[in-house]
Amino acid sequence: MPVAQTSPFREEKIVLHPIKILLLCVGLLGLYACGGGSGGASSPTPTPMPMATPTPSPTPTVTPTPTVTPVPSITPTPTTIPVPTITPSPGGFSLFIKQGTVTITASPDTLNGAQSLSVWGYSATESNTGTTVPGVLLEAREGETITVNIKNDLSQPHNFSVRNLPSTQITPAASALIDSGKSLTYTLTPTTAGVYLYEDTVANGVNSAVGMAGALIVRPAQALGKVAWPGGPTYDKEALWVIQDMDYSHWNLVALDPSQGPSKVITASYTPNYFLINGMNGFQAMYAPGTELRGPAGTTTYLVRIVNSGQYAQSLHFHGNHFKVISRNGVRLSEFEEIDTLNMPPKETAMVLYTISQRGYYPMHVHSAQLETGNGVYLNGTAAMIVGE
Amino acid sequence: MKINGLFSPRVLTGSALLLVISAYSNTVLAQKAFVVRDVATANNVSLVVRDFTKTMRDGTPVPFWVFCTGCMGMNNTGLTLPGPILELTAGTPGQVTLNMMMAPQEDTGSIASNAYLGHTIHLHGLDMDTQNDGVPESYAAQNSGSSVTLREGVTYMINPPGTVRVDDRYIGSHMYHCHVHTVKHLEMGMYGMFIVKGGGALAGHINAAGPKYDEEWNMMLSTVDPRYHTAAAKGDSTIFADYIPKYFLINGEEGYDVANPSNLDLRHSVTLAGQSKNLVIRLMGILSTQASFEIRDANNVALPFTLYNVDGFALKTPQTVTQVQISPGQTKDIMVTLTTAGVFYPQVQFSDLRSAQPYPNGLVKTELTVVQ
Ligand SMILES: [Cu+2]
Ligand SMILES: [Cu+2]
Repeated sequence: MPVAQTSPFREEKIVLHPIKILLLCVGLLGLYACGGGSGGASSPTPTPMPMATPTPSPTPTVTPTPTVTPVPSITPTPTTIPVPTITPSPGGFSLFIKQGTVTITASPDTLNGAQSLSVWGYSATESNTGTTVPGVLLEAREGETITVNIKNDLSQPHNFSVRNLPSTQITPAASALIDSGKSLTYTLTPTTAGVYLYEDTVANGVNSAVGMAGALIVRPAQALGKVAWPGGPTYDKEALWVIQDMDYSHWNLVALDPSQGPSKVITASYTPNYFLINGMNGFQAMYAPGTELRGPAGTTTYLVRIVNSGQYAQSLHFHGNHFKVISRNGVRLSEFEEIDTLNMPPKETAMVLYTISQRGYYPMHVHSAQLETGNGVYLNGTAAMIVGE
Repeated sequence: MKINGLFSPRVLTGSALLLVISAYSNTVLAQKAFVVRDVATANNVSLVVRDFTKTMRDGTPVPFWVFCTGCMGMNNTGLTLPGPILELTAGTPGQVTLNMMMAPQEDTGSIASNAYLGHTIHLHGLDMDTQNDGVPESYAAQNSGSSVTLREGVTYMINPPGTVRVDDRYIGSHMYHCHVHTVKHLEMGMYGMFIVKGGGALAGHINAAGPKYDEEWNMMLSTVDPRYHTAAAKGDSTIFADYIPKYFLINGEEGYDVANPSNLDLRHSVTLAGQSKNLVIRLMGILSTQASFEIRDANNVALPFTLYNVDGFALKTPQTVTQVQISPGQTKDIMVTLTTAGVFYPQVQFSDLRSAQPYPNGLVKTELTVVQ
């Protein structure tokens, strides 16, 4: 499977931080020499960042030498991390609608923000040990038929809807309900390569907002290789970004409370305080395999499939290079405009081609206020890293 | 060029640092001089950071941190929100130096605030390399885990010797802003316009393939949630978990207002002198909401114009429209051909991120006067 949507190891690359170094040591199974540096892997206390000189500062200006790009000191090797495989049970996918947990990790700079969020979502396992947000990644090839068996392990009825997929390409229709404890098998025959949002549309969108959303990737026939669609642009690597906002206090806690439920959420009001990318907070997502963009500078072009399953428009700003927008909501564009900021309105999808043109580290981040935070903790919102090697 | 007693604030050239001071001729305000935004070439410019308190129309004072070119030492005249306009000719080398002397910044005293000490300059849209990108976190990833040196005052090199990244493709509008804790520092006003202009045969052209313009007008769109400007909002704060914009600004002002002559940046006049004139309007979005731009006439009819550049890059095919959207971090350059005298109202409607509902006080108007 070319795309790792989630990983048991949400690896981050932050140097000089003992907790991170410890994670790296465990995650890389001793492939790296860990334990060097001031803190050491066993020290539980973080090493504070050196203080910057307070103002007024008479220090003469420091001019970085831009022509010399030092080789990054620690380069995580994401390919060594095992990736959960989608159960390709004969004929299709199995999804289980369950309550799950999104674990928000703390900012390594400030140690603030660790939080466990209760969500609903689509797990790949009945035992509910897998990730639920975003839901299991569904993948198909143009013109091929896949089946998606969905079992509802929650107590309310749910449904299954794929935005922008013609109704002739999916049965049963979204009006079919999956009752509590029951299963339904959906048959999908998508004919158009692209990325789609699937979600639950019951309860005025509350179910989707508390986590019941995921992505369907449709690729062209295998023989065509790495092309976005038959006759479309080529690429070297792929990434998928499912972005989602959550108003945890006023939506999740109400909808998931058995004594209240989705119908009790006041949908006129929405003040999201968590902003996830592939079910992760910013510091988790930055260097996560499948989320980060990484490769040799000059020869790596990514096809990034982007799904906004949330309710807020997110304006995604890429550093390091402009990129080409090749499709919007399934519509293949005839001219690929080069931009550096992609506005993603709620429930929309897009595909872009990003060429890593320079060595170094470049963020992709949302460019608006609280969306850059996780409940007010800076950089714990929508973010990913771009690494040119 | 005088219109209604106002000195036209536009500065079309910028081979040197220009500080334009104009006197308002109205007798009531005869003693006041008004400083219009600096225009500086980015070939070699130094920026400092200063405290700047702006009194909003409702009387509320809001503290900002702004960039300034002419405010070395104790000289605090000429502070503007946004900061000065930086201009660079495509293909030429540029140096933008951040001088941290006497710069206001976050309080020290906790790990949280230490992480967000100092300031940087991110040249938004110029696709800078990591060393010159002004981002503490990615700088640290490349430089042994420390971004301290990045925050103490740095010269950012554009097109350093032997390299030309910012070439004719970049002719158009970009931005610069601090990239330390951008949630707080952007909101505090640490931003300005960065315009890449064509040189040689492309001088005065809207982009490398586009037409020439006769007049230019730059508009930076921003929003203010005054809660973000308080002492409580620093480091990680639940204040940053929500955004409630209260003020909506074009070029730091809440809208064209005859009674308030400080908003010279919101009025522009064009003299036709018997010819049609091409006016480029550069829209730079440093806002945290959505926004749409239109040009209305005296009958409130939206007029067509042509969109040429998005994020400082030329569209393959320019689009003639009556409205463009500007989302956070985006820039758009449009051109309108003026042929008849009249008064027009370029305006921005700010709207929310959930369903693009207009904010009740989110319509900000400017005034364009065209005379024969
Ligand atoms: Cu700053
Ligand atoms: Cu920016």
